[in-house]
Amino acid sequence: MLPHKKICIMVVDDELSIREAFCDWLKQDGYEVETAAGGLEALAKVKERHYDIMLVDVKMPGMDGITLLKKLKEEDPDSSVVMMTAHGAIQDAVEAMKLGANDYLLKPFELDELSLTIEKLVQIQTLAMENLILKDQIASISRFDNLVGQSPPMLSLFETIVKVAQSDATVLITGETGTGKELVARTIHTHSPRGYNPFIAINCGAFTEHLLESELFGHEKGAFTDAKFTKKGRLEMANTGTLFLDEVGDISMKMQIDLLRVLETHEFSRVGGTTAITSDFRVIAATHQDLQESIRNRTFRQDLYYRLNVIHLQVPPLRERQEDIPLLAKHFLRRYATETGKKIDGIHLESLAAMRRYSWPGNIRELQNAIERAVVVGKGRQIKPGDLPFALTSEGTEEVANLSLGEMERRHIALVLTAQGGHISNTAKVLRINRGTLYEKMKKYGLTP
Amino acid sequence: MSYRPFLGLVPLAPVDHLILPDLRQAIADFLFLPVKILPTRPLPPQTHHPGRNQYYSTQLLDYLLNDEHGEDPFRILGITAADLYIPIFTFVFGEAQLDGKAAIISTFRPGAGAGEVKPSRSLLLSRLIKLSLHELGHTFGLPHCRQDGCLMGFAANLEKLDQKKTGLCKYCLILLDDYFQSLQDL
Ligand SMILES: Nc1ncnc2c1ncn2[C@@H]1O[C@H](COP(=O)(O)OP(=O)(O)O)[C@@H](O)[C@H]1O
Ligand SMILES: [Zn+2]
Ligand SMILES: [Zn+2]
Repeated sequence: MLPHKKICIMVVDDELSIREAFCDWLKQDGYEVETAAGGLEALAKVKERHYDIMLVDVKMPGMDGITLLKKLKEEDPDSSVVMMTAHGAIQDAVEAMKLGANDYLLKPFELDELSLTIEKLVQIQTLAMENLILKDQIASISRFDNLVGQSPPMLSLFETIVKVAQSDATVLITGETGTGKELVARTIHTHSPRGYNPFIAINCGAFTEHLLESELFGHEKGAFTDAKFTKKGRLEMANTGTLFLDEVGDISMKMQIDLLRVLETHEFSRVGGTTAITSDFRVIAATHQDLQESIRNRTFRQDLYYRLNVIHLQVPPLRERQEDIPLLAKHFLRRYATETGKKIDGIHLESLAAMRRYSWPGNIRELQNAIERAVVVGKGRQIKPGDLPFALTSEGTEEVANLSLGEMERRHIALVLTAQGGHISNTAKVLRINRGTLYEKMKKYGLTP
Repeated sequence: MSYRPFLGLVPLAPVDHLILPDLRQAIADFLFLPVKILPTRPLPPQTHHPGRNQYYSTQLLDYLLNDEHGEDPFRILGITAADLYIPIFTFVFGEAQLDGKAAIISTFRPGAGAGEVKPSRSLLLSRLIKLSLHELGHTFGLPHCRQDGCLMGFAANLEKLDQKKTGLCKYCLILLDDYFQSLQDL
């Protein structure tokens, strides 16, 4: 299978012809490719985003490959570095490996050396990611939430949910991250005739194509090297219940073809198996992406879109339903006060005012994290403005106008950290910097998660 | 006046002239596209690397595109008896522009120019058909595919090339069909 979450590779070489050759070749292998002509350009790009794999030439004018390797390992330790050296310069390769390079290639190489080297690294990264996802899932299993809201858009959403729950039609839920799409899906499920049967969720954006395939369809023992046991897929587990396909816009083109077939027939076979399995499930899909746009860009199939978009629910961002903020805040306060056993039973009016002024880019998830934190740090019986993350309570533009860039950066990082509940990877994602840079800045500003 | 899209097969320096008509026919049958054998063009000396005694395939693709022919083929497939390379690799069987216009293949290694067992005529033809269709597949936007035996699979050597079928897997077929559909929609 091709990597699904597009694996992004950077090629660093001073020779234009080599950069171009690599770029074309790796694109045909289905990777996203960027190039840099030297160490400084590479470092600048690495500060902007995460690259899964870096291919670095050892011999370059200016900053040489070995120096770049050291800096890369500081800047983004999660990225794998492959060093390229000329035949005969094997001692360079040895030194690079000692300094933390993940692999090396001797130029010029055989065609499949490159492909195999990269595949191996992708596999290792995939396994590491699988472990992370597993942890995430365990953390989210025990939660059961109910849907709170009294704003007009929410009230009309409730009405639709009740109606939709009675039918077995496929539902597409769209909305920004953290607006409650998954919660809406769960609510539809619990109010449907399938309500006592399983609700199986899968975050399609969190897997490589290969992993997603075996997650969805399951696999037979021996289907691939790591398949030591037969495993049931989520499609099978969702039998008689509801299958929730979160971030459905992130599925690769090939998986979309398979998925469409399954949605049409409800029949499939496990990876490496031949027996046809049927499963009776209802599909609810969600995405924060604009699928119409994806269709135009040819990254999402129109036929699949029509198949999913039988009923469309749009969940509005929190800033468009400010009247829900007090209700939601109290709802979360009650929950966290009970959980922690703290005697906090109110929210100071000024805190409420600050919350209404704020734009909540992380939507309800951010609000929930803010209240959770306030309950932990709060001393009195009420949540006071000081218990809330700074940016929430800052007094408009006058104060901000006096701040240095560094102080703004410190505050903003602190704010996003809080909004993301101290989760480093998510914080780095929102800030669009890599984890290495985030750690460095947190150290600099004395911030803790 | 209607333009009938066709595919141009361009020999770069003389190529085994017995194989060309068969190759032309096979490509035409597979893609349902008319294929014309265009006049032979010389191999530009500046694309030759004396140290490696190979031709730089990426530059040959540019050369193929810069043709003052009156006819404007929908896709151009160059074919040469010379051995091809791109700087990072020891050799390539061929090269193509992903979702682009030009592709090229070499008969050198399929014909055992690098010292393998001399193939029969039919085996050589079958190799060249696979390589041609694979590279043309790239020009139709298809990336490499991991489905067993699929023509769009990446083959690093003759053995792997011979294991491939002369056909696309169901995914690549659908994606190819989508590609042609989207061309018609334009
Ligand atoms: N209307 C709501 N009432 C109560 N809690 C909500 C509401 N909407 C979202 N939440 C909570 O906010 C968090 C984010 O919601 P989630 O459904 O995961 O968002 P999304 O899937 O859109 O990213 C969850 O913990 C969820 O329980
Ligand atoms: Zn190819
Ligand atoms: Zn294929």
